[in-house]
Amino acid sequence: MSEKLRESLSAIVDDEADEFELRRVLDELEKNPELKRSWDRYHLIGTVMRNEHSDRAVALRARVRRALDMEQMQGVKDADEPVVAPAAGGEARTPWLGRLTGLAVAASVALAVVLGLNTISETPGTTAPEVAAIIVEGGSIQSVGQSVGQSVTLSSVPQTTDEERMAAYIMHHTQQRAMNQANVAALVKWATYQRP
Amino acid sequence: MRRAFSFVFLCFACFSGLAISYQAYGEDAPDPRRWLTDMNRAFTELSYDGIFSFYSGSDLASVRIVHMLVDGEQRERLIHLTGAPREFIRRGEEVDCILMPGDDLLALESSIPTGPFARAFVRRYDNISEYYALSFSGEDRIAGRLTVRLAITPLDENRYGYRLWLDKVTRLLLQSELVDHEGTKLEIFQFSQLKLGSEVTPAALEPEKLQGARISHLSLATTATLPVTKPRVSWELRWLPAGFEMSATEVRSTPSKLKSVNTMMYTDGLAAFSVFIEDMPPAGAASMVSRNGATVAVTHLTQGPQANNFLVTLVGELPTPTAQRIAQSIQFITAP
Repeated sequence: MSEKLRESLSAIVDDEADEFELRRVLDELEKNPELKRSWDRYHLIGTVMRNEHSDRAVALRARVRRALDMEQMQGVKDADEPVVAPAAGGEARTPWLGRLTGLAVAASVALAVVLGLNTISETPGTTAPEVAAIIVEGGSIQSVGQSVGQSVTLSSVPQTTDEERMAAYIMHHTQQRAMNQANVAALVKWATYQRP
Repeated sequence: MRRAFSFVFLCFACFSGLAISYQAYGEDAPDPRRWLTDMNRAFTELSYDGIFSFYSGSDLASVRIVHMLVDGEQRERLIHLTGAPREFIRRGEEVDCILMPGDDLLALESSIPTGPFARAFVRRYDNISEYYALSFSGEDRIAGRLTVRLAITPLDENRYGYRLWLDKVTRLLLQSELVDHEGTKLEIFQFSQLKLGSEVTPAALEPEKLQGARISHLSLATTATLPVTKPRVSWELRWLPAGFEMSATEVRSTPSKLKSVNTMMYTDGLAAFSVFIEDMPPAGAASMVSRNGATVAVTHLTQGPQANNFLVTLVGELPTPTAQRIAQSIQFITAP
């Protein structure tokens, strides 16, 4: 992901993006499968945690774009005219859009996706988890939801403790396998074990 | 710690999963299963002194093994020739493990919870040929000796295959390969040098004096009296490849006693995997798919009682998609 795009996405998240920027990101989403994946992934994380349908992210993207298109049409017609059904596109405007601008919708969507990790996981009586969703090269999420007392999802970047734990379990498995079902490969594997 | 080393000396016997009763088959029939039984016997009964290499993933190790029957007692010595110096000395049921301080084996063993690993039940693997095809596939020369090749081919994509090279005269295993479906070798075990019978001397069984080494003693007899009752299991796998059954299970505490780890082991007689289930660590955990040679380890997040999060770690000699599918099928059994 380019530095410019990262900034734009960040701006959307921070509710500081202008419409041009938002459009550019949406256009880029159509062209850039990698960016689209990370966009979808953000939504997926949120929707999975809410047990919602996972293709909602795709639908949201379409709705944001529709909202923008409608806004543009209205802008050309008359900015002050009350919101009406779009002249083209054939789809009725959904009430939830209300008088919000497309930009605000998009921004709130992006924000909700990231902060949603936080609010959704928060349960009464527990400390609010710190949530960090960092976009890195390749469009993957660097770390998500290092929470206090409750983890909401698995991070995609293994820490030393993760590697330690896994090494111990691999060793344990190798050992038990040889004990329970001794075979040459398992035996030799354990006896020659070297930490990766 | 001590228990950890016991299986090293469960002899080179093995492929016990394939030690199928061969009485049912004619003595003269060239039955691959007969050869496998002979292979097991050769490992425990013969005298041999050899050097083998073991390749797994990115690791290549070289080990010398000396084995003899002295007055009917199994005597064995394993000496690491690469990496950290290690020696395992076995006299019957008694084993000395000679390791240098800082050895990964010591460090890792102390880092995981200890406790008895109860064998739920001892499985018989009579039906292994339902999931693997066994066939001879020609001859070859390994460690300067003539061998017969035996292929163990999985009948589905949920397990790996083996190729074995058995000494034509003694039926000792001289080479084995663990292969995936494309035929890629994931693990290779191979003798490069081997002495047999009267060429092997008892002096070769004596340990080398290692400066500063730690000696850990264990008795194999204690491991034979493990409880055989099946502990209550709170978790189940909703999906298992055909032929896999639980072979062992335990609930053990971590050293801090703050939480417990549920462990379940499954096997189809050849392939095996372990499932570890624990409370989600306070600091969180990573989604991981780690592969080295034939061994894959995957993590998965699941929910247990009171909708608490649990970390599932599956480790096994399985194709990655199979491992992931199994891990994702973990389900907490709600109390009736």
